[in-house]
Amino acid sequence: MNYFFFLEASMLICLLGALFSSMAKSQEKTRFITIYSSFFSALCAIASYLFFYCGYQGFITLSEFNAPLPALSSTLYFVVLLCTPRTKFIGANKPFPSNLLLLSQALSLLICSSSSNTTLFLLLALEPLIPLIDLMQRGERIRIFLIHWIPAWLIAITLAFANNLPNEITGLLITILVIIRMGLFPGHTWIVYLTEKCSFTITLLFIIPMTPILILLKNNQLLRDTHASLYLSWFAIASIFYFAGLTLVQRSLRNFFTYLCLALSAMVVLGICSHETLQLTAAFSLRNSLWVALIGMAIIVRALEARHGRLSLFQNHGFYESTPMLGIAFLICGLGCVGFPGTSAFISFEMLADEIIPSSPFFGMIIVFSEALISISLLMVYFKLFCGKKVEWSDIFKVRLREIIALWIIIFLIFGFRFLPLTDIVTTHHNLEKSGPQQPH
Amino acid sequence: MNGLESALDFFAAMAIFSPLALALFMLLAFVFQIRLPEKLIALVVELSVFIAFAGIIGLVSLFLANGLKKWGYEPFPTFHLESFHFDFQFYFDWLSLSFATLALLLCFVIAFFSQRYMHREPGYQRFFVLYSIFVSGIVIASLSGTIESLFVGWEMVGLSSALLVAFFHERIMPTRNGLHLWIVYRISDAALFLASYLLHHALGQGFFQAILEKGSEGLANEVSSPVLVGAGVLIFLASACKSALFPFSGWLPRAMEGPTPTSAIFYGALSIHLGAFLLLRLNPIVQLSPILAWIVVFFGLLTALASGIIANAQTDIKSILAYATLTQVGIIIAEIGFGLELLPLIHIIGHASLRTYQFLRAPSSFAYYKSLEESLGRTDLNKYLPKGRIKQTGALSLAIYSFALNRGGMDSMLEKFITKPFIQVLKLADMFEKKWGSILAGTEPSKLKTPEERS
Repeated sequence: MNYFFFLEASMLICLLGALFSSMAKSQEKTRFITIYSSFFSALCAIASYLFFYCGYQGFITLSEFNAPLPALSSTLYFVVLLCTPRTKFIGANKPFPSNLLLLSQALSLLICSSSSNTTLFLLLALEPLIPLIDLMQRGERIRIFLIHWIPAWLIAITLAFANNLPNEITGLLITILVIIRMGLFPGHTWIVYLTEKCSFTITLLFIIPMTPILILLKNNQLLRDTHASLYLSWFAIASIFYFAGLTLVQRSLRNFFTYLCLALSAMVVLGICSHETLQLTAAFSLRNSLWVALIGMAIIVRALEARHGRLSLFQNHGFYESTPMLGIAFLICGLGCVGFPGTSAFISFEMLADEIIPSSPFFGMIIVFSEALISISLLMVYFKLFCGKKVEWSDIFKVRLREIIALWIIIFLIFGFRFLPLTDIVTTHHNLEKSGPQQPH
Repeated sequence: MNGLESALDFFAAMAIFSPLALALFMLLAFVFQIRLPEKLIALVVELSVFIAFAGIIGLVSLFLANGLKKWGYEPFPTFHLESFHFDFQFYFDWLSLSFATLALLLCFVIAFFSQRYMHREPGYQRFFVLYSIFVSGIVIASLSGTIESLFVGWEMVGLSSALLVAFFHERIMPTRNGLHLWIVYRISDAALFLASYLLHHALGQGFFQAILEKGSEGLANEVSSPVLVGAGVLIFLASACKSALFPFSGWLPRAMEGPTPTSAIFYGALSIHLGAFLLLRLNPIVQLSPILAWIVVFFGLLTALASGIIANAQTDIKSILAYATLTQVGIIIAEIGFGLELLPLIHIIGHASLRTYQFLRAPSSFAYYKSLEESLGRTDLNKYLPKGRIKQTGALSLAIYSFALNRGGMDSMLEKFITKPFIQVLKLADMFEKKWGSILAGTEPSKLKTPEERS
């Protein structure tokens, strides 16, 4: 047995889980199958990572670069499912999309471990089908989604199969695809709609992993040669500032979270738009740290909304006294998002700004200023949610052990992710340097 | 490594890692929801601050006994990747040791005071979690040998201060004031970050030792002056925000919403002097440009003057003390601008000690006056108190009084010319976003109602 066996097994478990959960007759069974499929898939993905780390090589070679990603991805899927309230599965008005989640997990594992451009573009085209199906199942309008995604699908399929395109056209198409998929300004409206109308769990697991980053890394050389990375960086910098500013004036918690994700994703894109290995390392490491911190933040948002419905930021809610754990975790995840000293994103942020400022002082200043805006809005929202007159909650609303365990895992990853084997900045840098930015796998 | 070096390293580790271990312990207990008994918290806090203080005293003793002037301590190897390096190092000299001794002594006193003051307070453990982060931050900032480690301590101090101001979080005002403080501190952090970048790229490193050894002249010969003046301006901006200089003074009276011990330690003694400490530490950069040095003097004196006037119109003891503190801080900053080194340090130590006492004494001052009144057997004690410091006669007096009563109008000025226009533009953008989204989706924009609209 080698790591590849476990990687395949983890994907297979997800697919089988999705199949069985859609055939299950009771909601209790669906919940059981979903959580355990995700758990065993996560176990297999972690085993593949450990096997790779211990040197058991198989016939397909994963690199140090992407070896931790399937494990991280499936762990986060499992954590999200673990703390999904029971009421979401059983007795909810709208059915919980368990099978879609497991499909999404399988896709995510494939993306994290895939190595060819064609596969990546195809998977990128397949990925949005999951939120689309969920929107349709919920009876929501899909016009805005299609307006953005029909051209994006065409581009993704063209890029996957057309090998003889001129480099300039390829660069332009990748730029458009990334703007839409990552929700850079002005291609972000569909993401705001998605977070409002689609299942929050599906949305967060779709947006937060920032999958196009792998495509940008893989085609880095081409984007540089065609100056597409320069144009993309302008879109990214505009998005960072715009979305960071918008986080300050949001009146709904969900919209705040959406703009927070968009601003931070744009920051990662800006980092990737470079040919310097150091900057790429910083951006890629930052992406992994943000992945964890944002999932943590999303779990808290979802936990609060599951108990209290959609939350407005008009007034203070005073949740701290009833749920101190959520308050503490919100603060820690928020600090993880802005790279506070001690969190895993800290060095990545420092490195990213340090690399961007010499090439463009203006961009560097915007990043530092936007980061300050984001941290201000994060503390503002923390005060709005957790401070104020105490709200009496009955026992039924208390935070469950599962949620607490999930948050502990996230907190551990926020502080300790850098210390896990192969996840540190030096390994990422070494691998990027070894294989060249255009060939990360 | 000889015996002296080992001893220095040992004491340095005691001073630095004891507060960090405390912060980690308190944070872990907090995250794992372990409710610690009050006595245990008090014991652990006092013990760790005492160990750190003993470490500093040990260092000072070794410095004095061996005639040392400086010592560098590198607990972790430098993180180095191509051109990027992150140096987490500490530097001990007369300035850092004096400030750290002052900080730890005051923190020890406050820990002792707080365990009684906060007794049976529901947020007792939370208070000490934030307190321990603050102590770690102030120790790291004061002993830092590089601008990177200073930045780490600086941010820790900022976060813990904002959360301590909002400590009584069931009330709205403390949280608003905490947020106000956080905003000013984030401006400070951003300025310090950019300054650290400029220094790094101008000098190839961020070591204070190298900056101090080169001095103003050495720096001027080595690096182009616009870069260093730019770094100097950013350092001054960071200091001005941290030390509540004019026009950033608005956060200081607001910060008094926190528990009294925090007011004493943070805004009366340590936080407010941290900006002055930074300027003192990087004085060679400030002195590089005479214009910048004069700007520092100007803002220092302006702050002293404005705060002196404002203090006279305040009606509560904490606000009077806050502005009185600011007056002295303004003078300290002006002293630094004049290029003095020893005088500002002595001024900081004396002033911080006095203010800590006054802030801690403030809550019981009414009881004190009452007991004095009872022992004197008089009911009208006011006739013994100074009064009529500003006579409300004439247009000028009225204008000055109005200025003082409005606390210099600094908050409203910043809000009118900076915050409000910025937020208005963002609100417009948000409105446009919602409309555009609804047009594309073909739906009505979803709207969350305000509490007023609901009612």
